[in-house]
Amino acid sequence: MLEILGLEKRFGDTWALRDLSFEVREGEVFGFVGSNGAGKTTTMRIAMGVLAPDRGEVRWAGAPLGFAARQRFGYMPEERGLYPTMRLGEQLQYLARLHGLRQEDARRSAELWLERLGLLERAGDEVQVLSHGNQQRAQLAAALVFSPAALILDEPFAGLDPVAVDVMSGVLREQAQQGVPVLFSSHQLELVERLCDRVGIIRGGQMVAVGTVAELAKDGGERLWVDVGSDESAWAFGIPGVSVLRQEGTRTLLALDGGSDDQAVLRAAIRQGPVREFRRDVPPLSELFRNAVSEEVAR
Amino acid sequence: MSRLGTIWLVAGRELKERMRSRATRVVTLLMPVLVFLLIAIPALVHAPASATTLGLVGRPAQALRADIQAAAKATGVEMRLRNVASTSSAKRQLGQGRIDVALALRGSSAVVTVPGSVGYFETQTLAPRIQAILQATVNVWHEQRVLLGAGVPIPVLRSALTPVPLSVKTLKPPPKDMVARDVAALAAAFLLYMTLALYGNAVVAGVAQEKTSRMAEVLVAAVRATDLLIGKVLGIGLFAFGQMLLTVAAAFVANAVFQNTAIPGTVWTLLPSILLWFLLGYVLYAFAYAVGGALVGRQEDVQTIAAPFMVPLIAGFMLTYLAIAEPTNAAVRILSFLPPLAPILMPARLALGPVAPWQVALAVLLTLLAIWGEVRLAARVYALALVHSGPRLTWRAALRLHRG
Repeated sequence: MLEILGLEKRFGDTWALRDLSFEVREGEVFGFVGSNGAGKTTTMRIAMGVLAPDRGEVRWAGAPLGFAARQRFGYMPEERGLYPTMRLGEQLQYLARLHGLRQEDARRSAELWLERLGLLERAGDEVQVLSHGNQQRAQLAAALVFSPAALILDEPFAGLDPVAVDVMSGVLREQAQQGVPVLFSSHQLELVERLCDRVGIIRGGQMVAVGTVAELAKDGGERLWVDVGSDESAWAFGIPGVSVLRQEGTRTLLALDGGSDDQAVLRAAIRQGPVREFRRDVPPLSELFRNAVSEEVAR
Repeated sequence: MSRLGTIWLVAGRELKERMRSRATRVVTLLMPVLVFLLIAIPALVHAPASATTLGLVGRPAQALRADIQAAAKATGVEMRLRNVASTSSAKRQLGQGRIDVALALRGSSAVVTVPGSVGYFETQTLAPRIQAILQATVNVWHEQRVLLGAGVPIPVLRSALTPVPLSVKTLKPPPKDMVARDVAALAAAFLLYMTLALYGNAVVAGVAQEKTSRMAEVLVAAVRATDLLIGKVLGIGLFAFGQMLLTVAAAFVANAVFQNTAIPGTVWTLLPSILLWFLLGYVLYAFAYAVGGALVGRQEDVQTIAAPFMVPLIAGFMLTYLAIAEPTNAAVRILSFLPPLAPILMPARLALGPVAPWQVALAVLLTLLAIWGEVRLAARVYALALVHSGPRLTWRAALRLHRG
């Protein structure tokens, strides 16, 4: 398990991270979301030893993360990092060897990942002549070529076409199934919601929410969609602990405070007319994220 | 993988990538070819003149053979003598190029004939040294004729006309190979200045590419920054050393083939000294250049960051002229111990003449100490600056990073 514990980092007078803690479990895909400048990249750079924290620590398998353990981590930086004039195949072999693979194993592994990511025919090309999408795939191959113990990927899906997104999603899920903890950041919230086991929302260098999307939604209180065939929501007024969030045609979205009785809502709805819809609402991650960001803006 | 293995792997990549570049391959081949031509062309243009063939026309002129040979030998002029039966035969042979000059004695006068124009571009007139030899010999022939006519006895005549040897004494004889030594010193200084600047820039560019392409960020998780730094400096150094050996070998081959300069004995002892000082100078400068490369924010910053390193390199090269003009100059002697200047000045001094072994040892020791201190500081600053994002770091800011 990868643990981020109480990280703090300042750049001059600006706090980049404040007491940031979360963990990524074995076999888990963890989505790391936040606005630009929220601290995602700084967190990942600290985890990879690129930056040193002012306080806090990163732990791996219960022990402080050192160079030897970090050498087995696969990493995709935010701004892609490969030698532009080096041939792709040779570059992957070189990276595999730097991470400890023998020459022959490095060659086999490079070939395997190039084939898996559809780049085998480009093995002899310099990285700089590859398209953006192929460079992205190459970067993923570079992170995977030595069979990493953990994956830390900063915006791996940025700029990918839908097919490439599917390929990369498949690879990440596959790695997680093999027990590899996968931490990645993204602004593509639908993708994060679909792909991740758990999500962490970071705001102003602090983690404001961590859990499955369902757990995050529950933290915001229970919500119900009710359709009583009326385009007015006055019927819901006065139900204790219930507030109307919005009206869409004949459907009303209600927010229930913790402890309020959904059966009381159902009875009130029946009194209004025939109930065509009565279901629990799970807000999408994008909405949860916007709520978190709007709190930041409000501040 | 062991740290040594990692360093070797990084160095191997540098070496391989450099050799893969077509531009580098061309330069690697061009440099020895250029040096070869630089030596060969002057040798061909200023090829030593071949021996002058003098035609002695008729018996009177042929009687002077021994005197002309003696005068030529005394003045160090190579001259072949050929008997020619008649003036017409002499003219024919001059036209055919079989003889270069013809000498005929008629009565009390002497006639020298030369071809004049030979083809469109070439002229063949009487060389001053040949003219002086012939004039001296004809003068003696004339005096002999006059004095014999006046009845001077032959033994007296011989005694009077025998030249008195001129003994020349030099109070401070310069070394026989002084010019060659000056040339060797200048060549050594130029070679070291050029290679240190060239490969130093290669180090800056290499590190800057690693930083600006964000490759450094991927590498620091796999490789300790110190190992990365050493591997890079080693790889580029091995390549540089190979290129330099090729160039020096080309110079020696050209010199052996064209023999235009007598290689002074000091050059053979100078060669290992050049290689040693290249090695020390390269390590000294390469680590500083590497830190410079880690400070850049964009690839365009490379020239700006590399510029300050040129100051001591140019200073070292310019001071070599002073060393040549005044080999005993105290300032040059003292400056040749200082690490930034020693890699250029000390081999230049060694080329100019013997340098006390303790002075060489002191310069080596000081340079090694400087390298030791520099590597310790460079490794730390390099590690921090390499992954520092944003605009170009100043040296002061980089040192602040180091102090934390």
